[in-house]
Amino acid sequence: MTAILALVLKYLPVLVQAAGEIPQITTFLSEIRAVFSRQKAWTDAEEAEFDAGTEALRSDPAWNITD
Amino acid sequence: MKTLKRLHPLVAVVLLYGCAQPSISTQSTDQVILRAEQTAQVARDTFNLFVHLERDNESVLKTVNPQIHVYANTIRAHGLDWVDSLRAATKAFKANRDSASQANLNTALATLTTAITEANKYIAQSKGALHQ
Repeated sequence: MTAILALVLKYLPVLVQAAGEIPQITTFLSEIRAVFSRQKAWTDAEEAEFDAGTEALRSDPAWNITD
Repeated sequence: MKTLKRLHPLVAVVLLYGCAQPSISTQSTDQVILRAEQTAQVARDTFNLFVHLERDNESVLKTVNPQIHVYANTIRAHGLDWVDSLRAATKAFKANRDSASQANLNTALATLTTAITEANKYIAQSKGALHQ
């Protein structure tokens, strides 16, 4: 089992408990479930979509350092 | 019981996934690429959750543990670059599947794994502080 899976397992109980209280965590868990259910590497289009999504976050205000 | 119903499918997916994988020594390079892509996605999702959670509750969380804010800013400053580095290393490995490319990929994976650990630690602390 890779380190990333070990991490998910380590924090899973806390996050699942929090899911009922913090909506963002519910969304996060849904996304993580989709990640680990994938069995094949991305297509070129999927790769491009992911990389564009990463770039888009750079303009998300929550990612700006304000102090 | 309600919590168990939510927990069960996710735990099952993760455990089945982990048990079904061959050891690292017998993994195909395609599996290495899949794992690298999954790590990039988990990292980005984790970082995004963390920076939003911290920004939405910044004043409260600063009083709980100032390090939450410090680490959130570390992620804001470097997190997406770390994800991009892993993506670049993954693409390089796909193009040239040699030991040097794999070593670079492993370095990028290690950086992100450490950052995910830290972010998850502070997400858990934040959750505890916000719902005491």
